[in-house]
Amino acid sequence: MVRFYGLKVLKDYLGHIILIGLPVVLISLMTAITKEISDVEDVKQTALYIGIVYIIMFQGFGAAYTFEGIEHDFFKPFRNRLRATPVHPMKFVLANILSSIGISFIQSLVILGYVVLFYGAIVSNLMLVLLTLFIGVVLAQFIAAMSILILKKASKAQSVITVYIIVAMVISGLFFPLPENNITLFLSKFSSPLAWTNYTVQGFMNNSYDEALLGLGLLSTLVIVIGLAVYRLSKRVAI
Amino acid sequence: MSLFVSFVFCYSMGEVIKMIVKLKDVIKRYQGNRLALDYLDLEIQKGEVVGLLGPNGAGKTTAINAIVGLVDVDEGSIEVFGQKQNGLNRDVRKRIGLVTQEVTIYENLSAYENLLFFGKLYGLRKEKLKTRIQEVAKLIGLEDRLHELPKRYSGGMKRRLNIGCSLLHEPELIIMDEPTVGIDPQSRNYILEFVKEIAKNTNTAIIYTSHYIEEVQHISDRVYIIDQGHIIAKGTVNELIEKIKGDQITLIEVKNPLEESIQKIKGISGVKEVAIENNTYQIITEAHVNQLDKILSILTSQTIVNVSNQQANLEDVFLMLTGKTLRDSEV
Repeated sequence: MVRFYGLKVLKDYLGHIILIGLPVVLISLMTAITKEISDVEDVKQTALYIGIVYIIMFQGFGAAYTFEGIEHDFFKPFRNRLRATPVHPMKFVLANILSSIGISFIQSLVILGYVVLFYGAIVSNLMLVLLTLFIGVVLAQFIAAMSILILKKASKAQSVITVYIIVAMVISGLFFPLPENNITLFLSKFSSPLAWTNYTVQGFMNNSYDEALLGLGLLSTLVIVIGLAVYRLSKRVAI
Repeated sequence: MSLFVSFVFCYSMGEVIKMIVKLKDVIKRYQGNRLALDYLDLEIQKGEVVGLLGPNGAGKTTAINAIVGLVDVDEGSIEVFGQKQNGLNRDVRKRIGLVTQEVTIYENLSAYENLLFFGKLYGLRKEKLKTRIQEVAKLIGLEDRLHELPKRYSGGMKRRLNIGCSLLHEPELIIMDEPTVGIDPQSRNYILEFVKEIAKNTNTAIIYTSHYIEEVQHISDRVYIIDQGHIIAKGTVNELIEKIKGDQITLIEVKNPLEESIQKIKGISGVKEVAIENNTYQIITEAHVNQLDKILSILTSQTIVNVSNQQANLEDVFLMLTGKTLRDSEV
């Protein structure tokens, strides 16, 4: 079933253009601007930093896969068709989330691959960075599932998540640098799960394991908490 | 003695097996205490095509959802395949094919992929699944366009695929909830013909709901007429028509029908029911009572276009029983 749902998401070509094409264009553009402004010759690590920021941001937008899938299956006429089958309805929720996680993570890999291959960026502790990005994807899809299960409409969930992503990116200084003081420093590390993901990835890439493990711990805890919430909410909706 | 007991046991088991669906005194209330099903009784036997006829909001879909186990009922009992329907028995669901009122297919996946998905949900695998997909595709007339995306299909083709997805697992009970809504007459005929073919070639029980009388009349062995959650008449089409056999049905088409004329016509002795549909007064009168002059005198100001008599059909039965036409009731 997960394979089928994966195929369904994979055939959303417009989604790939937005979630892969757009960040690639933005990374190229922002790297070029940074190079121009700061007069840096070697932009590979700059491109990597910008790349990670956009990967995290577009993982959030990739949440659309989950909330659109769940809306289609459980908040539209499809609901009765699926509930009339011998398959337990919770499996459809799970298949939606797992397939979205898979596709969204592949998109993240493609963007990271672009930065590595095109700019020659070097990713230290690659496996741990990938693990963190994977947890980031899981979290984004769980937040999406929770939103749609509460709000029951994909358009509302989309609005909430878009606002969340933009606000989270701005206050954590990922869109543009904030003035340096203790408050902004704290916000840049801990203001949102998006900040935690960036903080953890940067920690692993800079070999700051204490910071990275703290971020990873926070992310993992939130994944468990939201995962349990999604389980309870989906039981109410699906059955 | 024991032989007698065995005989009685086998006989009663035979009855149970033959009975596919049995609803007894089923009551379902929605929010605001609105009655959706009001002491609904319904029985369907193996190999039978049963038409469930009623206007929108009559309770057809709720009745279907109750049979499939998608809604809990407040009172009464529902048995499907001799087992109590409590919504949790997945083996029962495996034996039912539900065709939903809305087209519920994945539009960005090909018809083949849709059939593959639904076949797998019902436990079909490998060669059996592939064979069934080909058989069903042939039945629904999509074998040549199986690998196209449904978003390129006409409304009728989508409806056929919608039905096909429910037939793959060879269900013993097929429930079709208004399967022809919003499609052209040609596609409608195609669907009706293959539903008849399924009924003829398999021993499947079929529940077919519609508010199109001609469809129900065409394919059903028996008909239940439902209104406001209650069965108001049941029987074969002929048995139902027999109820008003002695009556006379007159159709008077006018340019500007007036609601107040209905009461005036009803006041004429011998007139049993009156309704307006498509600018036409449908008037049921007792046989051998000729009151046409009096009726026409009421309608003179409305520019009479045509006057005719018609053979009684299920629409007239519905009008007789409820005092309204099916189309009126939709509003």
